Amino acid sequence: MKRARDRLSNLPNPIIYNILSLMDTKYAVRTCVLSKTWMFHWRYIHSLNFNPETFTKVSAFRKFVLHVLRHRRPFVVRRLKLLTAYTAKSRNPSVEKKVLDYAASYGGLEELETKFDSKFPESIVQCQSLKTLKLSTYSIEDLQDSFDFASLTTLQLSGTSFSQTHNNSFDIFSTCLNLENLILINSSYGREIFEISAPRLINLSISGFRLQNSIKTKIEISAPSLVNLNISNLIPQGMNFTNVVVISAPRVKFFNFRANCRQTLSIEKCSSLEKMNVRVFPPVAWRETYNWEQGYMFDLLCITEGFYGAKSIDISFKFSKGKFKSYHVNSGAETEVVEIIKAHKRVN
Amino acid sequence: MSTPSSSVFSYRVLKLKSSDGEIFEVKQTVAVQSGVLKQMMEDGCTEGEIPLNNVDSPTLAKIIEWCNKHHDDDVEGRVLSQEKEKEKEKADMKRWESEFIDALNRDELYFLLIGSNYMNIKELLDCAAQKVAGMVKGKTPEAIREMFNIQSDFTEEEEKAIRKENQWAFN
Repeated sequence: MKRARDRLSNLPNPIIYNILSLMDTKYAVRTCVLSKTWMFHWRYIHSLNFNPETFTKVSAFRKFVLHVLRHRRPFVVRRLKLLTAYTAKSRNPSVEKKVLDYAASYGGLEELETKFDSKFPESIVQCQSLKTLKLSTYSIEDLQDSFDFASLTTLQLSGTSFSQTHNNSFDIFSTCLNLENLILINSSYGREIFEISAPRLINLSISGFRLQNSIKTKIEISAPSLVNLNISNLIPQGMNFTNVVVISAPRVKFFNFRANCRQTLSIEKCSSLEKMNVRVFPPVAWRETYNWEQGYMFDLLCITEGFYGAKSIDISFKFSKGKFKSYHVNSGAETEVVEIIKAHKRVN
Repeated sequence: MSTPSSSVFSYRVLKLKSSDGEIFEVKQTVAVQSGVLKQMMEDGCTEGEIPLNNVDSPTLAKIIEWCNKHHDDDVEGRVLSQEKEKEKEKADMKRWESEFIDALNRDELYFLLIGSNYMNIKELLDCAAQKVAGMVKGKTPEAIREMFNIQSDFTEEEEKAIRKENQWAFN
C-alpha cells in the first residue's frame, strides 16, 4: 500500500534539484515529461554535466547544450563538467566557450572539469571562486602567462604538454597560492627544469611523466607543507638518460617512488619522512643491455642516504634475467639497518 | 535508570525524540555531523529531549547508524595512520556506504533523504541523492514513472509539446 505512493515527486524541491544536479544533464532534462510537477525541475539544477558521448551526432549535442543554457534559471553554477568531442573536426570551440562563460557569469563556480583545448576564456581565469580544476589534453602554452588561480585547492592536469613554454624552466604552480592537491597524469615536458613550488601543497601525485628533453631533465619540488608524495613512471627519451628529482619538503611523511629508468633522487630537508616505497622496474627491452644492477645499486644507495630520518623504507626492483629482488631497509633511532634480500625466479 | 557514571557524562549525550516519540541517545561527538544539532550545541540548547518532528524512529535509527559509523572511522583523528591503510579505510568506508544505501527500499530511502535534509547531514544526504540519481539516469521516462510510481497528468498533446520543447534531450 505504502509502495504505491509517488515518493520521488513528494521530495522537497531542493533535494530534487540536488538529485538532478548529480547526473548527466541530458537525463535531468528528460525528467520534464514525467508529470506536470517535473516540467521545470531541471531548470533549477546547480551543476551541469555535458557529455557528447551520449549523443549520436555532435550537432545534436551542441543544440542540446544551447537549449540548456537558454532555459536554465539564471543562477550560480556550482560544478561544471564539460567533455568535448574528440575529433578536431567535430569540435566547436565557440560552444565550449559559451558554456564556460555562462558557468562563470553567475560567480560561485567551484569545480570545473573539462577537455577544453584552446585558449582559456578570461571569464574562467578570473573566476575567483574556483576550487577544483580538472583539465585534460590541454596545451599549457596559452595558459602560462595567465595561470593565476589563486583560489584553487585542487588541480588535476591530464595529458598536458608543458613543452611549449618559452623559457627553459617551468613554474606555474607557484601562482596557485592555496593549492593543496596537485595531480599530473600522463604529461610531458621538453625543457631542462620543471619546478613545482607551492606553499600549501599537501598531496602531490605525478604519474606517467614523459621527459622529452635531449639532455637530462631536473624536476624540482619545493613544498613546505607537503605530506604525501607519489611519483611514478617518469619516462625518459632513452635508457641512457638520467633524470634528477630534487625534493625539498620538510613535512613529507609518505613517499612512493616508482621508476622505470635510472633516476637520481636528491632529498633535501625531508626530516619528517615515515614511510618510503621505492620500486624500480626498467622496461624489459632495456634490462639485458645495461648493467642495471650496478647502476641501480649505486643510485639506491644515493636514494637511501637522503632518508636517514625515515622510519621505514621499502625498496624493490627488477633487473636483468628476470630476477626480482626486494630489499627492506628499516632504519630506527639507532640508525641500525636491517636488510632482507629475497630472490626468487620468475617463470618466463 | 541513571547511574552515577551516566549522570557524570550525561552532558555528553543528546536525547533525540523521533516523530513517533521514541528516544535515542547519541553522543555529542557523533551528533555534530548534523548541522542542526551542531548549531543547537553551540547555542547551548540541547537540554532535555530534542524533538525531531520530521524523522520517524526507523529512519532516525538508520541516521544514527550512519553517523556512528562515520564517527568511529573518522580518519582525521589519526593522521599518523599510513597512507595505504588510509586508502584501505576509505575503500572500506565506500563499500560500507553503498551497502548501507543499497539495502534500503524506496520508502526507507525517501525518509532518509527527508531526515538527513532536515537534520542537515550533508554527507548522508549526498550519498542518498547519488543513489536516486543513479536510479534515474539512463532510463526512459516510462521506466522512471514505473519505478517511482509517478502518475503522468499530461494529456497526449501536452506531453508531445513538452517533449518537442526539450527535443534535444531525447536524441
